[in-house]
Amino acid sequence: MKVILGYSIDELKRKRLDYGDVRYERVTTENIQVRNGIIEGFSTDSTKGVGIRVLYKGAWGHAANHVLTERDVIRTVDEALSIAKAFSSVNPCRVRLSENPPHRDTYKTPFKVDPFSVPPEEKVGLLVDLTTTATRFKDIAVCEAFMEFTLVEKEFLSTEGAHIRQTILLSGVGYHVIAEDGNDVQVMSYPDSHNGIFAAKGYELVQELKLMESLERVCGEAKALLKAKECPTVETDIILDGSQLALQLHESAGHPLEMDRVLGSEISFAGGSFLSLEKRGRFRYGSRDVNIYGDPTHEGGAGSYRYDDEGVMACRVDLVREGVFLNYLTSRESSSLLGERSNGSMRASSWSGMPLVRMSNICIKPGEWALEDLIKDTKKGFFLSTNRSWSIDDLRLNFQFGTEIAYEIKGGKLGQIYKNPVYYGITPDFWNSCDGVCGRGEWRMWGLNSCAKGEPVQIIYVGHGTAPARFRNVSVGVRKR
Amino acid sequence: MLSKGKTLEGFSSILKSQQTDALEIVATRRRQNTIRFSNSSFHQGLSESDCKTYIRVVKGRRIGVASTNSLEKGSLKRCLKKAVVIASHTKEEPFSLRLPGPSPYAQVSSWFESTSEVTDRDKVNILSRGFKKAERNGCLQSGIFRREVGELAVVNTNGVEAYHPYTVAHLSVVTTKEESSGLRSAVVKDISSLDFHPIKEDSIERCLKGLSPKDIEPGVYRVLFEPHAVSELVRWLSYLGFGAKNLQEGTSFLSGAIGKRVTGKRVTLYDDGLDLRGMAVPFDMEGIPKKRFP
Repeated sequence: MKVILGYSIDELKRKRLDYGDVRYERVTTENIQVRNGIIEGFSTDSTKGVGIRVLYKGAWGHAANHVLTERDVIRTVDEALSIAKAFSSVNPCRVRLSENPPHRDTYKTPFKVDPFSVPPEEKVGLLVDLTTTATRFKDIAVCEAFMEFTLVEKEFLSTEGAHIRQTILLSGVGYHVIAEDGNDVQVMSYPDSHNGIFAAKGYELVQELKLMESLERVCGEAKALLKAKECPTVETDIILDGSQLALQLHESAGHPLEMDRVLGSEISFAGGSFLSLEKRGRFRYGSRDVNIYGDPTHEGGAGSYRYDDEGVMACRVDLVREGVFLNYLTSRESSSLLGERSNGSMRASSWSGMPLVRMSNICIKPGEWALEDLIKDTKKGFFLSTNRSWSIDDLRLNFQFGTEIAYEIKGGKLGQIYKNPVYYGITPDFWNSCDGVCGRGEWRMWGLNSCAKGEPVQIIYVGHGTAPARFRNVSVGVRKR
Repeated sequence: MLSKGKTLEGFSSILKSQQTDALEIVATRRRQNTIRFSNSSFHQGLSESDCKTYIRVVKGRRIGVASTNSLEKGSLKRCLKKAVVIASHTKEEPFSLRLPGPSPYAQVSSWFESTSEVTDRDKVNILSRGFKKAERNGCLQSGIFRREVGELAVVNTNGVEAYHPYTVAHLSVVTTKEESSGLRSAVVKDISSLDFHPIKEDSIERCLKGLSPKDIEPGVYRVLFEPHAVSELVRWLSYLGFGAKNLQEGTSFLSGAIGKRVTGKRVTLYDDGLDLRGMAVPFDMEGIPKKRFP
């Protein structure tokens, strides 16, 4: 592989480009899915290939190939160049790249237990026991459990002299139960919905989560929801738990802060952003309690890395400070328009994808509250937990989220549960209504494996560090005819 | 691209494996070119060549699946070994999986040289002409033009040998101006049948018509859905509701409704994998021949 990659870079240098890079990746994935004690799927996948990016007379071209021979590498370089030449002949503006020192480094995400060395019987056995035990609880019709392990080995070289090797290990696990009584169907998940929680960790993630011990509570709540009342329609205070706040952060902060989206590159697919360029540094995105940052260097996050897929070293970047919108997530191309350096947010989901501006670990800074005190301080409202549905407009302004369960808060105490809770709002109004974020004691890193962007679509892992937070006077419930 | 003979030949040694009771291989191989444009400028262009081979093995009542994106003999053998290891260490299913046997397949013409041979420069020139018209109307255009040339094969130890080459061209254009936008798209197998001009023109017209829309109160209205919108509704309906597994498990909203009225009388839905007006494929991913059914 060293020879092929070296050959690729030499070929790129011969073409007299503005810039060129080569990205090799080998990805091994294992997926296990069990439902009611029956194995729905147990598979392993292996994929490898090389992606070549060129900038020629200010226009991009990208080509990728799974065949790794010298002849195919030359063809791939030529394909990328052909695209760039076609674009450069018609594009009115030239792409420029901000400065970036060419790094030469090796990095591996740390882990304790290699999930690929854990015997298959152990992994399957855990999920079979879990799902079988769950369905012994009354009214629990279905329990589905998932495990996913991904090992990414990547190597990056550029015509500027960069040479970076990274190995990233990701693990994910979770389950949900479906309760039904002939009249209604309710779902409860653990530790999170969307197939669970994902992190740059090894099998220790599974061991830490104590899945079996969580079953009684999760099944009990799912069953209780069947008899619960519908969440009322009201304007009230809400406290979002960490997992729901993670998705709120993802959809209404992370995505609109992607600078390529701001510039219109995703208009035809995922939409744009309301955070237009003139708002930077002056727009009140949220209250003073709202501090949002991106940090790929945070160890163990699903979006953790040391270098992005343009060879830019990762760094923590403040996106919103005390409610004021400060920075975007950028690439070398988009940051050059700001006259700044990239903050290392370019990633591709695999060797075949073209790097795009992606979230890494987008987090909210912990506040000072303990959750117990925040609830005590709330006269009337709801505590909403675990995402069930989401909907947000093209510009990331109007949103509606549904959660699996709502606990009424009355006089500072958690009370009865309600089912099918939804809340909605306008992004900056919502974040400006935030008046309390819980502290380090309740802060944790959540993670998703399903962030989608680009055409062809690229699905990527992202992390979100959050703690429960309170929002005042939020519209809750649905208006009925 | 490979021919049917060469593609299937590559799998023959895997099919002869003695390590399993039954074995199935599903393979796809494709070359995909995508051009993206935004604000009437080309910002992303991607050419991708990849393949995927899934090997599903059956040992008694145990099933294992492994996949790889290499067609090299060594890689396929390692992939088979992984599938066998999974099958050996997993639990028994409550059923015995019987792979289908050979069947005749309908002749479906889905591969067109015109689509295979179109160049990036051709595509760029066609699209950039649309930008000028949009700009004259104070609009910008964004979208995607994707071309895929591929092969699909399904073989198994019961004698299934299914092979299908195809080409696809997908154009989607969004014209934007102020708060308005106009989307038009088309998917075809034969790019020479794709008339770019009306797609680009309609997108502009739609955008201009949407300027200064009136507010309406939330309420109950009679709504006319365009074909594009109807196709979106039908797509989600079929994705969520018509799968046999969901019906059997009782998790489909149609569970228990077979033989009962579930829509208005004017609605008839059918599946026809052989309809050449769509993306016709003569077999499914287990090699079962496609046919029309209500």
